[in-house]
Amino acid sequence: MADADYIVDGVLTEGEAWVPLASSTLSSGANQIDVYLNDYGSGNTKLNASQYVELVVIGSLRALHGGAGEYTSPTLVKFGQSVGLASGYYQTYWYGVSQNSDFKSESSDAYFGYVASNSADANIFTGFISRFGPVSTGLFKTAEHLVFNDVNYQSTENTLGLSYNVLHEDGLIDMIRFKSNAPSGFIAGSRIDVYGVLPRMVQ
Amino acid sequence: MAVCEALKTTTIEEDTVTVSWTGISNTYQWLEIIGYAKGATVNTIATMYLQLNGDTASNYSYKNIETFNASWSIGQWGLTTKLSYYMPGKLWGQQSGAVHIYIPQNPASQSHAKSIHARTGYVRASGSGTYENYAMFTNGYWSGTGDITQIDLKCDNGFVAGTQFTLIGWKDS
Repeated sequence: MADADYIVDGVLTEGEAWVPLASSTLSSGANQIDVYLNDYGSGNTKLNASQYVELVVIGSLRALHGGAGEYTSPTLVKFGQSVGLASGYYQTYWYGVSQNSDFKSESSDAYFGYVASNSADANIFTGFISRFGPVSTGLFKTAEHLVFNDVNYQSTENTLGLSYNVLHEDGLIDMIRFKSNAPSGFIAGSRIDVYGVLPRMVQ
Repeated sequence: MAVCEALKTTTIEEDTVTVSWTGISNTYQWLEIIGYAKGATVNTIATMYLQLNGDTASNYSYKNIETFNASWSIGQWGLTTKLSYYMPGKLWGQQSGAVHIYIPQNPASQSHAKSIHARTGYVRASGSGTYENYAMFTNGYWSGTGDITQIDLKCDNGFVAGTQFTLIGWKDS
């Protein structure tokens, strides 16, 4: 695999351990937001993800889920190799709002959590931090999601969630997709930013 | 000037009991440990330990929120000789646990005990319906007041090959 642009003659020139890789903001509603770091020659983004220890996604999402009282909307994620789009994910999670935890058996999408929906106060988006790794070692792939919701100060739908997924595959992670389960998907302004964490040494 | 620098990376190539980072600079306000780890214990679960500046005395305590499958609990331990986090054990093939730990370095010219935040978790579920899944928030305490110069990560019977830890340093400019 070719070196990334910031490796020049074998020397790392990137000054930060967190390297901004991609950013995507919806200009209109959509059912999903994708980031492909390497799409294997289809003409879109091609970045070398193999040198990162993990990928970090910081984002804010809001969905349009019809009906009254829809403060939040379930959201899913896929990650792994962009070829073949893996489909065997397992997950566990904990929710602060109802003090519950649970796990889910194998499913074709990974469990992310809930994001603000149409009954949430205006202009509220759900903030989250997700971390995916190990990017390139031979271990199975794990994702961690910290999802925060304050959708209405009187609502019981406010949540603080911690969830983990595993994908039983050991290939390179070079694709991340956030999927809305809402009938109308994510609204315009929903955004994700992707960073790669470098493992290099400066001392 | 970089505000976020990768200081150390250790990738385990064969079962190793201790990952020890020394010579850590005090020029960073925060230290962050990123890991994807698996224990060499021949079981479904292993315990990973964190110790600072080589201190193996009973100078640590911690409190956590711990989920195990569909149940959850709050626990606390102290005083103890190390901070502890669950990892998947060797029975689980290529499974690894995610580790994110944040350690404050001393402010300039000051000396404080350290409050250490960690998130750890892993998922293991088989098609036959065997599940063992953990998600943990842990806030730990170390009574040492010196600058942090050494971090030791240990695991009963060691970490297995493929385990990887990276130490990140954060500063304001």
